Amino acid sequence: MKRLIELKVNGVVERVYTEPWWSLGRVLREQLGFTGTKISCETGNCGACTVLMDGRAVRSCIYLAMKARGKEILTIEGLREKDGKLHPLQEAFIEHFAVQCGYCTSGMIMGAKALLDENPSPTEEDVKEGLRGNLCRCTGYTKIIEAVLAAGSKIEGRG
Amino acid sequence: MAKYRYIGKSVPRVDALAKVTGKAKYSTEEGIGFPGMLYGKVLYSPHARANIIRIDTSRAENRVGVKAVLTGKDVPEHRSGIFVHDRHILCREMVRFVGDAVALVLANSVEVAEEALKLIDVKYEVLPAIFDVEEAFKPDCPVVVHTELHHYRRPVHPYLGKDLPGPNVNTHHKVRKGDVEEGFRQSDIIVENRYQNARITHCQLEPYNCVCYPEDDGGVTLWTSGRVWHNAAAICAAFGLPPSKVRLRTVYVGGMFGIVDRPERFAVLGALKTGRPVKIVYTREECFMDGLNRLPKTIYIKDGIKKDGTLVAREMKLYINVGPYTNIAPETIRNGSYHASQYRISHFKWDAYGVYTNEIPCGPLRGFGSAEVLWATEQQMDILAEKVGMDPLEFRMKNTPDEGETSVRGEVIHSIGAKEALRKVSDWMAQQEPARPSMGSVKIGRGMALANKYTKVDTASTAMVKVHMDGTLEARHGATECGQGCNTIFTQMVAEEFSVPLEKVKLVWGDTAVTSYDFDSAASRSTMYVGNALVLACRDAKRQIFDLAAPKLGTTPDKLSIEEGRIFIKDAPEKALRIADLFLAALPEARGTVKQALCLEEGAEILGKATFWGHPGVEDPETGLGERLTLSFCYGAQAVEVAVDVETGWVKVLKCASAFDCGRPINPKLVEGQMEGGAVMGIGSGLYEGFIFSDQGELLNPNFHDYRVCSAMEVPSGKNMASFIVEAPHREGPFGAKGMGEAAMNATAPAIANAIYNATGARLTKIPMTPESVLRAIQGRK
Repeated sequence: MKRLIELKVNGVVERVYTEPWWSLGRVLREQLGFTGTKISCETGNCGACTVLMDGRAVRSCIYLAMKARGKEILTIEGLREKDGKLHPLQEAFIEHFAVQCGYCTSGMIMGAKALLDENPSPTEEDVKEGLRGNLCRCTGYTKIIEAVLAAGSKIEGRG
Repeated sequence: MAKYRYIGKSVPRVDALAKVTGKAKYSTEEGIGFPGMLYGKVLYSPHARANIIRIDTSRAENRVGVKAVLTGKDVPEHRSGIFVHDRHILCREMVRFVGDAVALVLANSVEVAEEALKLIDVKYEVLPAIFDVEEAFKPDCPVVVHTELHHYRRPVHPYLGKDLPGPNVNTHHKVRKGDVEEGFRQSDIIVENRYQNARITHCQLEPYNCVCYPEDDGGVTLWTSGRVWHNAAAICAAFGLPPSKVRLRTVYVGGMFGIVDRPERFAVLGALKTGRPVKIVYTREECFMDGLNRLPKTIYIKDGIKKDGTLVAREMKLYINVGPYTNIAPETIRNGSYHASQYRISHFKWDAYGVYTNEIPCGPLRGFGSAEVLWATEQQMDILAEKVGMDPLEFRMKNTPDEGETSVRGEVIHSIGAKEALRKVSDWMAQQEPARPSMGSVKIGRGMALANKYTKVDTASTAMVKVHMDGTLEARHGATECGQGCNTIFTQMVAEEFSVPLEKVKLVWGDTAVTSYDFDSAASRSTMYVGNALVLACRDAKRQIFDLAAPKLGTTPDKLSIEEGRIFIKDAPEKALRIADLFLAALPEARGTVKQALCLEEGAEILGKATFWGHPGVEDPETGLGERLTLSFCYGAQAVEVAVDVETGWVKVLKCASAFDCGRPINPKLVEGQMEGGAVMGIGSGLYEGFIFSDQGELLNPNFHDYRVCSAMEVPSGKNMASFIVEAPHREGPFGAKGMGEAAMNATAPAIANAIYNATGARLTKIPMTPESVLRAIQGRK
């Protein structure tokens, strides 16, 4: 039976009736309209569904929406500044051609944000390790790693 | 050489902003929350081969929320297919693989549909099944997968259905050049081997999905995660609907790497039967099982060379396990032959057999039959080189043909950057410091391979370019933007033709009711075919513009030019008009709301239209030779450095250099992206990926934890991953460009195998080269 829950997404409190077994990813996409987060394997293996919860990267495809109550959820849609300015990661992904089909991109950028928030000046190996849970079938990762390193430098002010 | 404003420049992708902000729409977003939508789920056979005795759907139909349960009695009676019409939409009397579709449930939620599947009772009579391709090939094979094969229609390439030596053989492709027996007599050294490859699958991140809306004229509209024109043709054939009643649409597609057309048929069936919209999203397991994976091949190859390293004769026999339905296999099988014969070879004999088994059906996967063949031939090249004491690079250079020579298949070779590609990767690798492993059990090795991939010649594309009053250029094409970046290069081409800023170009794509015919986004063909069609359509639009402007400027059309939306006389550029001046509203007689009309005085609009087709030649059915069998080839090479742990068999690729010849790069960064992505897919195919079956034919690893796709950890990056663009302009390509998206994956697996041999002396003939198989090969060597 559907229950009314409150979720705080991208700074805004949303109230939605949802089934207790629905994943956060499904609620975000199908009930709240945040379709930027993608579902790809539904088993937590590929990372396409990655969102941030209280700053940590989680797999929204296997995270129950009910469990997400009271947490700060950040999706790809919430990454831009209020004035529309892109996050340095978004800019870097464009500049470095780190996007091809785009299906892994939301999860990859959110995963990269969690990485950079924790480790602001990662090495190339740190980035590869940090993104090992985000699969990409198109790019071969080289330009993604380049973009994350560039974004890290920019955020640190060394850009 | 002309100086271009956009061609050859790495302009940012036109869709990057939408993708990094989560705004880009895919068909998975379509239909969410649509009233009355039904969700479809398929019941699959648990047996590899069985008769269906009885299906009882009553309990499922009675489940609250279930609208309909469809079975074989509800599908069109005729079989359909691409080359051989051998498949029903749902099985009618028999199932032929673990995963064959038996019933379709349509319910008002995914959960109800999944529950209802469990309420369907199917009584099967289980029969013996056949999985081994060489056993299935035999004339006396006791298991015949399709007893009615000789009745099946073969509208395309019927000659591939001749000379079938066994009841399960559905395809036989032949190439005969010269006389291989004579060639072997002339040879000083002969090397024979057998190579095999496991099935791999696309693993694109967007799971296959579609939404089908029934229309009130008995037709259907679909949003699809695949290719609109190809899928539309399949639906028309399967349901007997005319093209005018089938509309397919797509926006962005989350990776493709090959044809995807499974859920579409079920959705159309469900929508036509229930009169309600139907959404089907495959689970990742279904994507693996029903995703039409790459053909597994057993390849016997015999090469003869002279002491001086000249490749004289090559004989190949291929046994290809297509599973129980052919899908695209006959063409994939046939086209593999272009890659086995990429060198100069005097005598060449090829027999490739497509064989039915009860494993799972195959389809096209990046490379379309080329990579598996190159897996065999590029290892042979290294083995042969060693036998005559030649360096692998030197040996390949000696046998690689040049521009203007006639290929093994009878075509005059044009636009071949092979030698430059080989030199580039070789030189780069030679400049790299070899890795110094910290463990004694780890050996370092280097290897290379040459690869190619053709672009089909027997296809056509069209495009239209509408010129709006404000100077916007609306370019319409029917190809699919699945990540390769075609929309970006098309924008560049149109902007170049009209000399306008990129923002003035707007693309409309992927809608069979709006964007005119395109064969498909496949075979690395969009750059050439759709690119050419767009350029021609731009020129057609400019002709219309000049025809309209000339009388207004008191001159003739041939004296005019256009730049930045300004039409001017070449010799007197101050005499000019703007595009809006050509429209109805600009006429002095325009009064009232005619002054707001957005149309021409006559002929409605400025719409350039064009077709580009390949003018295919004839392939001799007995010899496989012909003068125009392909439109172009992309040639390329890869060199890799690997680390092999001889105690665990674990292999890691440390460095990789790719060099590919795309004619002329329209957008160099996008070309690099294909090389890097292709190399990583190649690494996966060589080392980590492969389907594992039980002895009852059940797929055991249909998920991302048991089927290993490369993560960022498994691949070289940064300064260890080099990509070089080789330019060998093609006279038929737009601005000299060719397609190259597939070739980039073709050299990697054999290059890795050659590197493993270099490190350990162990030769592997099967992919994937798992740690167990590497260890066995190393130990077997001792």
